[in-house]
Amino acid sequence: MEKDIKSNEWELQLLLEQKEFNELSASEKNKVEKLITEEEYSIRRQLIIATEKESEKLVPLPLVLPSKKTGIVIPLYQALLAIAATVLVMLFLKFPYSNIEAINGSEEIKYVSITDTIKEIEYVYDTVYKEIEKAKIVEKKVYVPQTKIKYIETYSKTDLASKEILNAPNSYQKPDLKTLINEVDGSESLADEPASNLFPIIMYRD
Amino acid sequence: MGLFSKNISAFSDEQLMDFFISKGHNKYIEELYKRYSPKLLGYFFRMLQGDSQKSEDLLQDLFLKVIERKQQFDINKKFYTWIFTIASNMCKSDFRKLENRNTTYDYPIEKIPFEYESNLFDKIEFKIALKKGINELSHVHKVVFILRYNEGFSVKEIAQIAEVSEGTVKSRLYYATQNISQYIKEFSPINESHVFKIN
Repeated sequence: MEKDIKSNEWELQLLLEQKEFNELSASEKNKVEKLITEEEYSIRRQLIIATEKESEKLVPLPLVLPSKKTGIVIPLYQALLAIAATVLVMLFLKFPYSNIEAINGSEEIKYVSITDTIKEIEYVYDTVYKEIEKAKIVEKKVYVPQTKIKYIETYSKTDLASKEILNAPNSYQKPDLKTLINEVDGSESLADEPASNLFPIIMYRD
Repeated sequence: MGLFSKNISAFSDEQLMDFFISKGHNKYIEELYKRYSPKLLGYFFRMLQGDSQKSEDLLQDLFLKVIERKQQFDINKKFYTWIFTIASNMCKSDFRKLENRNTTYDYPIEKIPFEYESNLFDKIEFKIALKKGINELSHVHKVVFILRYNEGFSVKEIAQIAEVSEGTVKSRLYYATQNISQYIKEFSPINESHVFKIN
């Protein structure tokens, strides 16, 4: 319940708003002192002045207004015309591609493999065997054509003289031994003979 | 443009509201916002124990309500008492929500400078005590006290805003002042250790 204020109480409140205690007239002081002390008056006066002077300077943010609805009214016939035009445009756009759609109409099935788990197998070799293959010896047989054999056989058949075989043409020029041996140089030793250096050759060859 | 803005600022609050109702242009409500937003923000700030974020939100909501309820405005009455009535009701709703949740505000503690004079320290302590005293008031007492001594409304205007009789306003003011004085007793000018002059 609200307490009713007495007239003198409101008078006191007005004095508190307007005057310091020492500014009060004698009659006003009497009225005040009937209700509160001088100290209490000073406290109340102080709090009113402090509250009046208390002003946090706050800067408000700009006002955010709700978006306005546009009040444009479209007549019904215009709306219907717009719908009809849209349908026509849609038909026109669809028609030229209808054949192409028929050609490409067959469905193409694409398989997409989805791998969710991948297992990776890695072989680790702990023992390595090295195999060395030995070189193979290939025996090569050379077959002489039979014509040569025939030729030799022919020679044997004809029974050619060994003289003729030995006198076959040779690039080596045999020395004229007769001349060399008969040359006289005054020495008795065969080693002093000028042709003595040819002996080994003769011996080897014969 | 400058000429136009000069013209719009020449209109009274009630005329702007009248134009806003009839024409619906945002420029009229923006002008009213420009005029009243600092005052209303301060009011919310004091009523909500220094919650600046919430005060900003309530200020925006308040003007949205003004736009929505523009038809309810009586152009024969003062605009500022009407808008403060809505603001006061918003504070009342917020206060009731807090009561239902059984939550209380923490009093903002002002930062005291590292280097201070004893007189300055006394002033800061006095301000803290005064804020605490105001915040400890019941909602109805607080509304009239803030409207009277922070916003400077007359008793008649407060009665319109708070939707109570003038006698009730006077009574609430008297007892609000009496209650707050209990919190600042130690700062009595008669007590020499706490003597300081409020500038």
